[in-house]
Amino acid sequence: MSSVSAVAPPYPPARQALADILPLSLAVVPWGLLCGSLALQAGLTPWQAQCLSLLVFAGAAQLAAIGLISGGVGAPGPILSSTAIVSARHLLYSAVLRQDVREQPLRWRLGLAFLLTDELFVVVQAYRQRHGRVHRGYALAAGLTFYLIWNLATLAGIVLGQSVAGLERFGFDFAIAAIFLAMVVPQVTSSAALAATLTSALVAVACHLLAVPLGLLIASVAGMAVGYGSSRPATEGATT
Amino acid sequence: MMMWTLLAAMALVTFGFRFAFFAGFVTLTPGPRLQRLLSFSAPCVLTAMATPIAVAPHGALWLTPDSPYLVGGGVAVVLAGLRCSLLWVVVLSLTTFGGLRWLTLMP
Repeated sequence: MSSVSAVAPPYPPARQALADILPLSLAVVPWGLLCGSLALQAGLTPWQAQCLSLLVFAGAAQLAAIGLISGGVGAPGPILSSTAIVSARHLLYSAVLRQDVREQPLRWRLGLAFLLTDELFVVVQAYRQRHGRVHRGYALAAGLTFYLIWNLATLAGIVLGQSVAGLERFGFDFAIAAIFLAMVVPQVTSSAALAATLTSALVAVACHLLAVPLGLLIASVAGMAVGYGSSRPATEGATT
Repeated sequence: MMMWTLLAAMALVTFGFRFAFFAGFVTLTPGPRLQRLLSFSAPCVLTAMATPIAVAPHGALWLTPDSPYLVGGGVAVVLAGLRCSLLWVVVLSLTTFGGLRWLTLMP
């Protein structure tokens, strides 16, 4: 075999993108359904609920906000700070992919940034491992597919409305747990990362059981603090 | 109106983070300390969302081997730890979950 960078993609990038992103897209369908139906129950109009997915396009941030609103928190301060903490990981994705899009025209950078999700980041990084570089058409096709399916799932959640309310009774909520766990485990490559994720897990479960508001926020920050505190600056070269 | 303002602000926050380093005019990279802190952000947020579903799916701890959530989640963690592809981890853990759920729901 020749060097990695010389290997041509076996499929047209768009087709491969579809194959790579589809399983991840389908796994978030229940999450999208919940986002749509819960937004209505929190008091958003159907069009606002759809715009949440169309414009914000960040499942975790959307659900955190919906949870706060339906819990009676209407003030923008707590809601926006939860959005910021939950979305902070995108700063890192943006920094990691910067070198790949630096040469692209502004409209490509705008478009790909808008579509940058956990799932897109994962498939793009996997593509880079296979082919030694990132293909913009591949990233765009994968991102658009994910965007489309996420919004269709939200729409379905809005249309089905109340009847999806008991979705967790059917166990669909497990799909998102499975996909998040599958994404996290390969990232746990150091004892600091292990300490960080274990802390987040414990705090999250405790907050969940005690119905602590902003539990997701508290658990995330606690884990990040433990990870930061228990990692050494010397290990900085080994970023994931 | 309030809700629309909030929605727009949320969209600005998420897009701002995603575009931050694509913009081109930010030439500096985040410092090593900030990078170190951010590197824990994704695994911590994702873990904080996934774990309560796996161990306390209906608001109460469910840690016995007949919990499809616990066993399915365990399968996901083990397979992902064995470096299985994301597709297989998702398919096999969902199958485990569905199968166990079907078994335990049988009268």
